Amino acid sequence: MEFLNNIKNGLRNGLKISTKIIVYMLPFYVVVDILEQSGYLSKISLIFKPIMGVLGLPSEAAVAIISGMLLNLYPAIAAMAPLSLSIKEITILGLFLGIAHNLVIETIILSRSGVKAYSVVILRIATACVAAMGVNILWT
Amino acid sequence: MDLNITQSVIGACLLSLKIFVIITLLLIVYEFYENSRFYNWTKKILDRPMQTIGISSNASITMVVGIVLGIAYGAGILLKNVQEKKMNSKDIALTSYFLAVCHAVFEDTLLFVAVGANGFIIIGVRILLAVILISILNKYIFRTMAESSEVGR
Repeated sequence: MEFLNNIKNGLRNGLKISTKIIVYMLPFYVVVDILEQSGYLSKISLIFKPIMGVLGLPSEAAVAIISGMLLNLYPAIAAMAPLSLSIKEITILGLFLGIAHNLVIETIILSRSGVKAYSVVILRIATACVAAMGVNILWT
Repeated sequence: MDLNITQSVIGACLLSLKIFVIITLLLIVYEFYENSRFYNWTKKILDRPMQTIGISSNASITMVVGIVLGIAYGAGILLKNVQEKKMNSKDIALTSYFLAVCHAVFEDTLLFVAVGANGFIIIGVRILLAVILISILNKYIFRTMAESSEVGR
């Protein structure tokens, strides 16, 4: 009887909680996907080219950073592959995107707990910048 | 411009389905775990290291699940605890911010190790920064929050 109860409770919670997440996630996913299809994503990344040097990355890596932040790690790695980066640069990119990736979807999921969405985004980008700059300075 | 909105909507639906399956399966497994004696046993082990960074009992298992498996899993259990009012507002905030910076550390890192990155640096720095961040938030920003919620009780 307890076995069935566990399954029943798990199902009920799963349904309730995933609905809570999905309702918010669906529209944002569509917006970001259209942004990518339309080619605006690579235009946005032009803005970020100047600050790439501070992070220890070549300016071409901006596209990888932006696709990683807005989408997820797979398109970021795809954008990174043709750049022939050094091990240090790949590690910095991996660290930056490890901390700040898939920001739209993941922030929506996390903010369902009640934390402010903008604070999650700011915190992740700031931490990622600190991490990238730190490794860039300390890795000789 | 060649936009394919149908494809976006299908993509969104597939992701939603994936999240639904992941969270439901996880919460069924978690229900069994929560009602077993392993629950208290693991909680006891996790309590001390978690308390040093300011996070109390009910959040510790949520954190471990999030760090190892990823944000959808971690948030699934987090939201369940929030719904059942098993965590106070300070723990909810600290766990959320920790998971924001540090989740699915193995999966994310291995993707970059596969293309040549140094995985130890990536995992090490991520966990270190997340712990530092939470300690700072706990000490300077959420201190008043915990006090006021205790007064409320």
